[in-house]
Amino acid sequence: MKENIMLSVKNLSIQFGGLHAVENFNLSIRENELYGLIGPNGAGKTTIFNLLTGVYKPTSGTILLNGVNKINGKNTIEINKMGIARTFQNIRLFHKLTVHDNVKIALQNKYRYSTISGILRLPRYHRYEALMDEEAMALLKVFNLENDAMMKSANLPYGKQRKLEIARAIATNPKVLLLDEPLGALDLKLRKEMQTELKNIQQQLEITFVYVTHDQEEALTMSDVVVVMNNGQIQQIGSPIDIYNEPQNAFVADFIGESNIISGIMYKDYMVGFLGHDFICVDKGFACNEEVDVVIRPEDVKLLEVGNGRLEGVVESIIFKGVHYEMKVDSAGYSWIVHSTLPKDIGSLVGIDIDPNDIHIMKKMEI
Amino acid sequence: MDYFKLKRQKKARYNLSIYLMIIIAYAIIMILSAQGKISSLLNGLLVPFCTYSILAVSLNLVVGISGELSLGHAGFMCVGAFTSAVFTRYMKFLGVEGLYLFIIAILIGAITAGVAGLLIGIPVLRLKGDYLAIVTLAFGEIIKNIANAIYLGFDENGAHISLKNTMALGLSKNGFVVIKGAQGITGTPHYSSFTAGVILLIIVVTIILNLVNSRTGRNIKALRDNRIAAESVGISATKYKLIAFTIASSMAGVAGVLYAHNLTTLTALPKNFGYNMSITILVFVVLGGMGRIRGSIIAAVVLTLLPEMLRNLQDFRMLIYSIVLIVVMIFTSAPAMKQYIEVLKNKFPVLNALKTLGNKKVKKEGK
Repeated sequence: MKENIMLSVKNLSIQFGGLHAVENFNLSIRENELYGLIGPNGAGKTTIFNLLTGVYKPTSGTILLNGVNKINGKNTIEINKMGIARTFQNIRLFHKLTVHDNVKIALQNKYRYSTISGILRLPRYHRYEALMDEEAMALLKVFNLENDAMMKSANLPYGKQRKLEIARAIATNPKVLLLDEPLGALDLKLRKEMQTELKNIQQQLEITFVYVTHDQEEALTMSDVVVVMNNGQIQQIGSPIDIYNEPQNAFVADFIGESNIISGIMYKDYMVGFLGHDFICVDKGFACNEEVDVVIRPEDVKLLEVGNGRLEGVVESIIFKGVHYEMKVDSAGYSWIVHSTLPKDIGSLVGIDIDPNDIHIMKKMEI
Repeated sequence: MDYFKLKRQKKARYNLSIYLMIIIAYAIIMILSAQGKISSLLNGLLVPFCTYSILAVSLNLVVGISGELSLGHAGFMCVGAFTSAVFTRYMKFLGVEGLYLFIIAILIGAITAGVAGLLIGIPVLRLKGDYLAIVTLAFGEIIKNIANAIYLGFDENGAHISLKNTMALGLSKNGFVVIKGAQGITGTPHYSSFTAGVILLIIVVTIILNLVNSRTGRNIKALRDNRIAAESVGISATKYKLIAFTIASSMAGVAGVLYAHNLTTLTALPKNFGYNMSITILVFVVLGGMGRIRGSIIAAVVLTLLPEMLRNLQDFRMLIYSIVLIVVMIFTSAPAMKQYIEVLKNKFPVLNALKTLGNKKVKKEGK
């Protein structure tokens, strides 16, 4: 079942004035998977959502739902009926209505009855209202909101408002659910709870989730597939493990977890030079003497006794981060970020070395 | 779940209180008038009470429930008044009279005003906020001025319309001029009565309450609270705003019918169909509370009665009226006043007797 392509986006672009907010966006979204869309502010994540839901019309490109139904050019209401629902970065609830009514409104497409039967209270009204009441309540139970059903939605605490917005989107019975920073501004504990809860709900309801975040850790823990974006372009698509271990360029490496990025020269396959030393590495396929970016994760930098490493440096600062210490080590003008469980004194001289497996070579970024 | 029961009972109690209020007021006035204890001044105000209540309740659908500021409501009242009066006056000319004609006239007034609302609503409801208010104001004035300028006559060849004068109609000898330009319609049959007004008010209140508590009403409220979110769950903004506007216009038409058949001469003056009137209706709605049907009725009655009660103040009448209006507005919207009302309610449980009685019943059933 996992091969079914739910949503395919081809060459999608949009310009605002001269700004290319999204450029040549290509993505195939498989059924029942959780996609994490990640990138810095202004990367075009929300713009993608607005394009997918018809708020903006794309300058070029096509969006297909289920491989057949063309979405671009349709308006928000038609797109919702086709099976795409969304939430918003800044919560948009029907704030004067009760929690229960918020969900009930989203069920209105499923249980349609005319204005006339509403005014004249025809049997259809009573039947459908009862069905809606029950279904809305059942959905609120999934999100543990049943005890707040009669509360005005504006009076809910922030976390519950987020939940309610997701419940409302799910009530429209979507095939694809777009979540725009669903866990934004929640406290750490609630965020962790919601991460698991969202993943459970996704598996329970078998809906394809696409969600936007700028929290790297969240994207890695929740997603089946991570899409890294910058400046309106996709930088890399892959599983969380691939993205973390094999970043395709220095931007991805730096964005997904902190990294040391150093300019280097690839002398030949498996041999790179940076900071005045030659290192053996595991990458190949670059031109002779090509300029490259060398990416090294902070936790892969080994701090040794003086004389044991190929490089030497002075510890400049140290911050306690819970499990590990984050240190800045100055070595011949380059400031290394090092994560280690063993603290070193500020000002002490240390040796630095890196395992060949931990050296990632990337093509120079075009700036 | 007891929630639905609780919610329905709460709503039913509110609805019942409106009906009870109207019926009790009606009964008291009927008893007093049977004993001849009602002054001729008050007697002349009985039908206007109903007319203005219907107008206030219907405008509340647009301003309070749908959240759009409309300043052209008197225009739709004008449409209903003139079309229905043309019908009944011509029937009177043909020698047909009877209360059943009044029912047909009401339907004609409701339908023509509804159609006018629909036609004006299509272009106008694309605008929002202040722009909408100004444009509806303009349309209301246009309707009033057309009604002021039109000459309409009937003969065996059918209807003749002119904007110049009676002669330009070119009627045959058997012809009859119904609308005489600025002189309006004279000799409209006097069908309106307090009883008819109260029945119409109850029907209008029922229609609006049923509408508000149905799928259509919820969709309208959802659009008011958050248009973007409402569209994202598949609610068409144009459709539901238009439904609210059309129904409200139609109800204003009914008020117009009641108004027209309470007078012998119907003319379109700024006083009765101009923006003065529209703003007076808006004052009823704002004072009564946005979205509150009961409040609209009370405000309409009180503010119709007030200027008449102040009649012996002569020149200072409108000044005092304005001051009273300002004071009431400030008092009812002040948070301190609201708190004080809560304190009063706690001190004197009698004020809350009806409510608490109902609540106790619900609680017992819940247990």
